[in-house]
Parts: sequence; structure tokens; C-alpha cells
Amino acid sequence: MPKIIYELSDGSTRTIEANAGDNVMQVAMSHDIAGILGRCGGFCNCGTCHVYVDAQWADQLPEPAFDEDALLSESAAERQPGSRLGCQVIVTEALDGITVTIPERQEFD
Amino acid sequence: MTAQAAIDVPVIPPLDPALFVDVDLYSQEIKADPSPWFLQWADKPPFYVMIHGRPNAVICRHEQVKWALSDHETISAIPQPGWGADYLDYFNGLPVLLEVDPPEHTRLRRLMQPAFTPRRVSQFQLGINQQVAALIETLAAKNEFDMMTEFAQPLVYRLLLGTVFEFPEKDWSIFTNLSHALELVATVPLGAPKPAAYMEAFNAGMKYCGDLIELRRREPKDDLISSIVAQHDEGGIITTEELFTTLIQLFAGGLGTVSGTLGLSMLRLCRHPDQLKLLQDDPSLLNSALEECLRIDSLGNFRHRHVARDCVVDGVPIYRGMLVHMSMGAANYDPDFYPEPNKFDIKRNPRDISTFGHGLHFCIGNAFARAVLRAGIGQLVQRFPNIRLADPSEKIIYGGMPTERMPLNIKLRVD
Repeated sequence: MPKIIYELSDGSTRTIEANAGDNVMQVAMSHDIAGILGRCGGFCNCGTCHVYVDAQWADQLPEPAFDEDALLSESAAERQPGSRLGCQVIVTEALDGITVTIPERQEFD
Repeated sequence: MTAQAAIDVPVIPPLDPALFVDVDLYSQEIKADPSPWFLQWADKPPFYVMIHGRPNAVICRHEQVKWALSDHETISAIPQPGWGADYLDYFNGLPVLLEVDPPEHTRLRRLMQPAFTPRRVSQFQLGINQQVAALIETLAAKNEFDMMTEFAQPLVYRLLLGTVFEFPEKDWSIFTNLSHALELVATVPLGAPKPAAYMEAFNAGMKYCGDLIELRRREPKDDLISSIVAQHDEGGIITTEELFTTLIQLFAGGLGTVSGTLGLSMLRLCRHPDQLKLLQDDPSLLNSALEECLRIDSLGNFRHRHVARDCVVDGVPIYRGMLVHMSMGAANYDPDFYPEPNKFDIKRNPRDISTFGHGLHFCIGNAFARAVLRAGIGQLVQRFPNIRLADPSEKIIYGGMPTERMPLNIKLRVD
């Protein structure tokens, strides 16, 4: 089972064993990991599951599709290299150990 | 083949009478307080109700509502003539975003998505805060005011039509009239012409959009409206009908929903003075409090869709040709997700609520609605330490579309 390592905005780390085929947002939500809202449920519609994928893993992911690319520029957290929507990052055995950093916010107050 | 002969109305097989519930989903009682029903339904399989002589399915459990809202090949958003949804046709059969499936949905949603992204809403936040503060100061001079007609409605009209879309105030009534007239659609029998007052409001909205499109063609601006018009004129990506309906949804869609949600949230807090006090004493609880308000008082009790292929949900057969009502309100009371669901607890910070829908049709304006709630409720409760219902025994009347609970009168005292 591939592991996902979440680095939270408070500096702590959570490591979760996921099933291949799960996405990074869904796993975070079901394990109550703070900082990922996933408002729309994983349909690339809200931009509230923004994560920064560590460089060594980001290169292994397929490029963001049109809607993800548009939302990443419009989400609350600043877009950076490695920015992805968690709902679009599907884990596989090859991604065992993928590390994602959760931004400080997904919505503006 | 005549148009009449082309209509495909599937014959629904006999249904188990034991699975029918004798309830009027649109009754004033359910609008006023749906919680007794939601508590009964939120951990049960789907059931059937009769509406306008046809069997409808009702789905209430959290996970099943989410499934039904996301599997468009089984539960389609596209209305079919003769399937019994005429009374919920708010846009005269035109191709509105809520009533299309992919790939059309994907194409149309991309036009509207930029309107209310988190980043775009943030650009309005200062203006939202200022408008709320200004309105509150006019109300501070009174001891008593109506939350709906003196706060929520004028605020949301000003924010959406003035701040976001920059329409002159003299034109706002075009869309506020239409927003109010939508509920008239459900007042006539199936197959009857739409009510005259609705048609008048609808046509006025369409004419305004037509004039606006011509204006932007003559004098383009660097704004969302011009970009949508360009998608039609230059990109050829949308039809003329889609151009009109995209605009009219943007302009009218949030007027009732956001103001109604402001009203429900304030009403809930006033009816739970201990929770209101908690929030007043600790403003950092605002976001959690508002999510709890949104959970326990979803403006939309139900969203309807159309069964495109037979399926069985939790043992209950649902057949092609039926309407399905997914209850977002009940899903928010599912005890598997929200222990003690009837308890209003502003520290609960509920996740994965269904109030704004789920999936492809998840509410485009949700970030805007949340921003207005934060400013509106946040400032009201802090500016008025003694805010309360003027008469706790006053009966609140609910209007809006049949599927939603729109409070019409909430008198508050603030002295």
C-alpha cells in the first residue's frame, strides 16, 4: 500500500497508508487531516484541496489538465512549482512515499 | 414523426407500497423545521413519494446523496419532457448549467467558474466588509429591524448586482424581480403555461442580457461578461441560448440563496443564545459556527434529478423515468457523519457538508456565499451584543422554491 506523507502547516507530519487509486484529497479527508477542505468532493471544481507536491514526486505526475491548471491559479494559496489539486493526484505503488505540503489556507478569511 | 410521438415517457413498474411515505416534501411544516423528518430519514434507505401523480424517489443518506449527485450516467441532470419536472423548470427549458451533463456541462461550467473562485472572491472581500459595516450602521439607529428585508436582501443585491457585476442600482430590480418570480413556476399544474408574472420577469431579464451583450460588443470591457460574450462571438464555443442563460444564471442565481442562508443562520443563532454568546465571546469560532449553521440549516432541502437508467440503492429499486430528490438537508443530519445531528454546536466544525451540493454541480458561488456569511453574521453579532429575536413566538413564514426554505420575516431587536 503506497504511503502518503502530509506535511501540515503547523510543521507536523502525518503518514497515511493509502490504496492505489485513491487520491491525495480523499485520503486526507477520510483521515481528518487538517488544512484540506475538498469542498466539491473531488471533481476539480472548487480549488480547496491545493497541495505542494515535493519536487522529486511532482515530476512523476501527469501534467495538470485544463480545469486543474485554471483553478490552481485561482485558489487561496499561492501557486508554486509542485502545486496540484489533491483530488487530481492519484497514488500508485510507484508513488509510495509521495510527500505533499499543505498550504496555510484553502480559503480567504 | 411528430414532436409529440418522440416524447419518451417510460412506464414505471409497480413499486412496493411499503416503500411509500405519505409526506408533502414541499410543505410549510417541512420548510419551517425539517429536522424531525431529516432525523428519521438520514440513516434509512431511499423511499418513494407521489408528486403530481407520479412516483418520485427520495435519497437521504450522506454517502448515497453524494453518489446520486455525482453519477450523472445513472442520475442525470437533464430534464425529460413528460417525466413530471415541469413545475421545477425555472428557466423555460433553456440549457442552464444545473440541468446539463458532461460534456456540455464541462464547457458551460468553464464560462462561469471564473466568477467566484477563491482568489476572485478575495478581491471583493474588502468591499463586502465595507458594505456590511455601512448597512449595519444604518440599522444601529433602529432598535428593531427585519433580517431579511432590511439586511440580507438589500446587502446581497448590492454585493452581487452592484459590487460584483457593477450594474447601476436602477437596474437591480430586473434581477431581484426574476429571483422572486422563480417560485411562481411551481404554482401551476403540470403542462399549464408558465404564470404571467413569471414570464414578465423572465423576459425582462432576457432583454436586459440581450442589451448587455450588445453593449459589450460595442464597448468591450476587461471583465467576465465580455469574456463570456467572446466565447460566443469569437470562439463559437457556446450557442446564443447558452450565452443568455449563462448570464441570467450568474446575475439571478445567488440573490435568493445567499440572502436566505444569511437569514437561516441568524435565526439559528438567535434561537440558541448560548451558542450565540459563545461566538460573541470568541470570534475565532466564526468559520466553524458558520459551517455548523450551513450544516444544520441547508437552504436547499432537496435537489431533483432524472433517473436515466434503472438502479438499486440500498435495496430500493429506482427506475428510469422517475424523478429523484436528493436531500442535501437530510444528508447533513446523517448520524454516521455528524453525531447528535440535531445538536447545534458551533464548535463542531463539520466537514463534507452537502449544503452546496457535491460533484460536478457543486455550487459555483460557494466561496462568495461563505465570504458574505462571514462578513454579515460576523459583524452583526459583534456590533450588536444584545441581538435577539424581537418576538420569539412570531411565526416565521417560509417561501422560495418548493425545494428550499427561504425565511421571509425575521424581526430582530438590537437594543
